[in-house]
Amino acid sequence: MALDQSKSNIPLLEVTNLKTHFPIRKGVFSRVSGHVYAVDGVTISMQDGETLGLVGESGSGKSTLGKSIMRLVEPTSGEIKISGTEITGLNKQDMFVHRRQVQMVFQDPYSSLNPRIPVGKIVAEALQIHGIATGKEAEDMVKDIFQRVGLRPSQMRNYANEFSGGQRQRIGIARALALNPKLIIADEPVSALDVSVQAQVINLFMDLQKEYGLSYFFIAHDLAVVAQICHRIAVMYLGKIVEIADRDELFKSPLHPYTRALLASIPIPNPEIRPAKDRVLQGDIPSPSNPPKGCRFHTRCPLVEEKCRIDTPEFKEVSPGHWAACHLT
Amino acid sequence: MTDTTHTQIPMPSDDSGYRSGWSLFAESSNKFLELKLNKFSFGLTMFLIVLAILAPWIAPFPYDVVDPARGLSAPGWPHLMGTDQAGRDIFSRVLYGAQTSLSIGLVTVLFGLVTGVSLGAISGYVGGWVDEVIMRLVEIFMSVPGIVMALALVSILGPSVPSIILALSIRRITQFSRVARGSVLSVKSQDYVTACHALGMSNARIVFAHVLPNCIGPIIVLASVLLGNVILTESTLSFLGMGIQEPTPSWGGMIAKGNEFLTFAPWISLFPGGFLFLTMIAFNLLGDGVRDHLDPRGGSVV
Repeated sequence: MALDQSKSNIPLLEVTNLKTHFPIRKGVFSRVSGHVYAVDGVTISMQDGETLGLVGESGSGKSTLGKSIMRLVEPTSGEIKISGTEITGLNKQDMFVHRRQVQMVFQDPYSSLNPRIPVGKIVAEALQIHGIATGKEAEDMVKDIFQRVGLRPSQMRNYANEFSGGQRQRIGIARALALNPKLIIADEPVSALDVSVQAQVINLFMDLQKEYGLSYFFIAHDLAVVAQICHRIAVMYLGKIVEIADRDELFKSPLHPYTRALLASIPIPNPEIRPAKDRVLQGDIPSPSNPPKGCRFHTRCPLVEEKCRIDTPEFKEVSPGHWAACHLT
Repeated sequence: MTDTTHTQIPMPSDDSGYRSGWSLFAESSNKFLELKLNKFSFGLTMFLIVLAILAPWIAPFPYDVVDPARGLSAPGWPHLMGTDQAGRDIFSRVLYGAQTSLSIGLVTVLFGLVTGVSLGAISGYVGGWVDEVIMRLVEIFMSVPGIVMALALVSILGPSVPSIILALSIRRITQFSRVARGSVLSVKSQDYVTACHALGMSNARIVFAHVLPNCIGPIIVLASVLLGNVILTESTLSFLGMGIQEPTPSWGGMIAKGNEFLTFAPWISLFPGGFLFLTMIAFNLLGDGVRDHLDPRGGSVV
């Protein structure tokens, strides 16, 4: 295993050509009749202290990518390096040690907390199983973590059902923070919350980042949320990354027609301005078990040309730090 | 650790420590008994169990003394609940019958619960071929009518209490394992279980601390329903001559024997039937109460 060499050169997270396919089984003998290509060749990297946003429609494979990085689902092929250590081949013990570095915050604050355990114990359990602290010591640490995420220590003994959605999400964040990770994978952490509460939780994420130098892999489908918190944004469509750029660059000059369609879908608070018709996406995302040939977006692309139907566009750097996969750029 | 299943009393104190042990248990039980319905079902259950234990001291007559001269006498004095065709005192037989029926019922359900829930939990949690094998086995056992299976087993092993318990358990094992498997399947896909995996928790800990405690609701309800069911099935066995053997009384056996005299001496079946009815009511209500009590989400107030 490679240890930290010079910290700045090694990306915190480096995903190379990652594929996660799920077999579709049929019949009595569970014959494999096809695959769902949920993540199909993703390459991205992240630096320390960075927030990378990942946006895309439902069914584009965002959550599967996040879970693959956590190895909550086993990737089919490809590499995942965290601080230079390849984790796809690690056995259970090595992976256990490794889990301290990467933790996850879930989308649904209602199903992400065990309803039968006091919330303080949920967080303390993380400390216990990793041998960080037990008993009174763990309790004190949990108290501290609770304060950091904006909860009262007296709330530790309450059960999840006694909290609001936003508070539950804070508890979920506390559980992730307990192991003092470098990277937090946040799987649509605010999309189940009220708008006013969303802002509070996003602010909490940003405060914690400032305080502890955390990095976030922030999955979302709401561009307004992503714009607020992310340094860089990746756009995913049908298992592939179609565009990556710095936030401002992406909003100012989106290259991929899909990115433009997503940006056009942000409501404008002025009824006089109507989005251009051709910018609005028609139809549904195709099935990831049978993705279109050529460019995967060609079935819905307003600018589609003949070669889009045949050739798969290369993912290339169009300007420094701005990558896109489209024949027309 | 995980001693938190019945500790959901949020105290308005600022002390964030968790108390444990007896004080919590006592407080929790007091809270349980605050509900009138729980008080009733708990009281009735205890009453029946105490009756069964104290049978030798309460019963005015031995359960097996035959006195044909007093046969089929109606309820009155000295036979509070009358006598059967052989002149045996029904009241005494009901008390002794409580011993057999309650112990067969409780032991069978407990054995079925432990075995069935273990099988079902393994099946649901591990999945894959393990699930296939266990569930196909369960289906094979379910495809044979329960009473036929029980008859076959008792005729092989002989009609003793342990073999009757074993014979009655097999059916319960399949029932518990299916219910447990279903609950485990639904709980294991919850995000809080995924979060446990993300923390790197061991599977044993996930199952015992996070999955099973969230599956107990339907299991408790099934247990309380099956208890009455088992006592009745034992009566069918008795009726077919494969149950508890005369003269030892069991409620089921007494109800079955009283059938012939139902038109002119209904008390022979009526009194053990009434006790069976009370037992089922008591355990069903107690089961519901315990389920709601263990659920920190509040639950219903009936």
